[in-house]
Amino acid sequence: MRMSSPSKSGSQRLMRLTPTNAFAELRDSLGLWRLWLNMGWSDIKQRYRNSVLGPFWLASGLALTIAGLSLLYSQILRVPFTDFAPYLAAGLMIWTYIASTATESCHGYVLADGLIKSLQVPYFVYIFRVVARNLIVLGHNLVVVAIIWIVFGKVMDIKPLETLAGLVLLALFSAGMAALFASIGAIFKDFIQIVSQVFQILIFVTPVFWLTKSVSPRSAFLHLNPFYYLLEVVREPLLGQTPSAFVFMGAVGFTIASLIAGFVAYAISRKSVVFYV
Amino acid sequence: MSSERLISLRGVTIDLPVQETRARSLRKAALGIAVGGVLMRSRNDQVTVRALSQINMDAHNGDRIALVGSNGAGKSTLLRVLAGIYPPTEGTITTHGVVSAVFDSSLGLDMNLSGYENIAVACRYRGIDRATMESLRPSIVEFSGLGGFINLPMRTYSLGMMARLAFAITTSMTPDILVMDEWLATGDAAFMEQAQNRLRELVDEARILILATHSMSLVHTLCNKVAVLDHGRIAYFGPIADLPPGVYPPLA
Repeated sequence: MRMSSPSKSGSQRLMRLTPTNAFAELRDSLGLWRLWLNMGWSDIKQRYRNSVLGPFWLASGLALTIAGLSLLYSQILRVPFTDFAPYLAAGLMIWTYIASTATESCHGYVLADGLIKSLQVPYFVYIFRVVARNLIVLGHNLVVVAIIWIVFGKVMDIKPLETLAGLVLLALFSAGMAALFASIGAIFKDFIQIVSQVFQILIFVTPVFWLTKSVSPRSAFLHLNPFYYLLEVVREPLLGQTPSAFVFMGAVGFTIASLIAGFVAYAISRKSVVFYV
Repeated sequence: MSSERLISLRGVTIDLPVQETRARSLRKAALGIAVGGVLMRSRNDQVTVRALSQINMDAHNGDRIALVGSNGAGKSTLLRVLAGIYPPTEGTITTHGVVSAVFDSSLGLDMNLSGYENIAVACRYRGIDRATMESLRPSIVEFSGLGGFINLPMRTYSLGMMARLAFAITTSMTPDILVMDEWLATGDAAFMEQAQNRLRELVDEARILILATHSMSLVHTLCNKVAVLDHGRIAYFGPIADLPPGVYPPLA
């Protein structure tokens, strides 16, 4: 009736949290990819329970925004609509991913309090869950981008390998950022308000709605802004350009910085998180 | 063999920060820096509650330990330490074996999913792979005694029904160490008997049971040892029969 050998059931390592260290927890959490992927999926399913379009509601919202803003901005910026629509679509899709991962990760621990207080699961799982959830949404938004690319005949322009590399960098960057923000957000309850307000400003500071060539190439809005590099490293290959070495190295640099910051924040906070959520 | 499954607590102290009295905000952290006392000062301002103080405790194979004590004595905190959820502020905890802990009957499950689907969710949370879960599921469904309700969303369940399912899930995993809070008592008489039988089976296989409860009949029928907690300290830990008079009158 019952399993007689307890050690038979898979990854029992996760059952102990206290005696391990942050490295072991990271390794274990990566091994638990099924768990956080599933959690991400069921978050989305729950959000769109009984909805006809489901997560495609987000995608349709994105499509509407792109259609409306492209018409307006192509006139303001005096660029052809057929050039600007794909530019804006790629930019908005990436930005939406970055901004929602950033804000949602502030509550990555807080909203998982019930689980954190009753399961012996390493906390990286709750961070990866936020990242996975947003990557799934990104996947739905990619459908919008794909339709636009087909409509405007840009499919053949895409540089698939560079795009993939860009997306991997973006995912890694956001994972580090999510670990950092989740750790701070668990202890400082105001942090999510700060992050959501800062990201409301950042969308205008980062070249999402405007073209990079509109400002000086040495502009601080570009060079000091980590999101500029992460945006470009995905958007440029989607639009058919290979990212410059400068952009690529910038994206790699900020990704490494983000991963280190996230890991350090995790290692510092992991023993107190359970008392604060 | 006997050293295979055990828990050992040495000088375990738990301080719980109280957030409400000194709201954790960045503004206050920043002000602390501006004033000059910096973080050390703000750390001292942090109000903490010493939930557990210098706990020493060993559990060996076949121990069925009842945690008793008044409300706020630290029973639930100690359970969370034993389950590896609260890292000790001071002291060490060593655990050998798989711990399965149940603090409330909802198990952190998705109330919109059916009980049947939630069995998979609960197993996933506990590191049980899919194949093992599928092999366990029929016996969990049967043991829960929920019948057709197993296919309804969990939000339609009563507390007692949830307790049945939670109990069926957590005990089916044959943990080496089973840690439970009092929710067990929400089941009806028939279920309580069924549950007690299963718990006996578990301890017969030389596993450890730790149960926090206010029900003295549960203590007497299930446990052979008792830990009496009083204001975060262990007032007595040992066989029930040797409990000195006056330490915990309800058990005498």
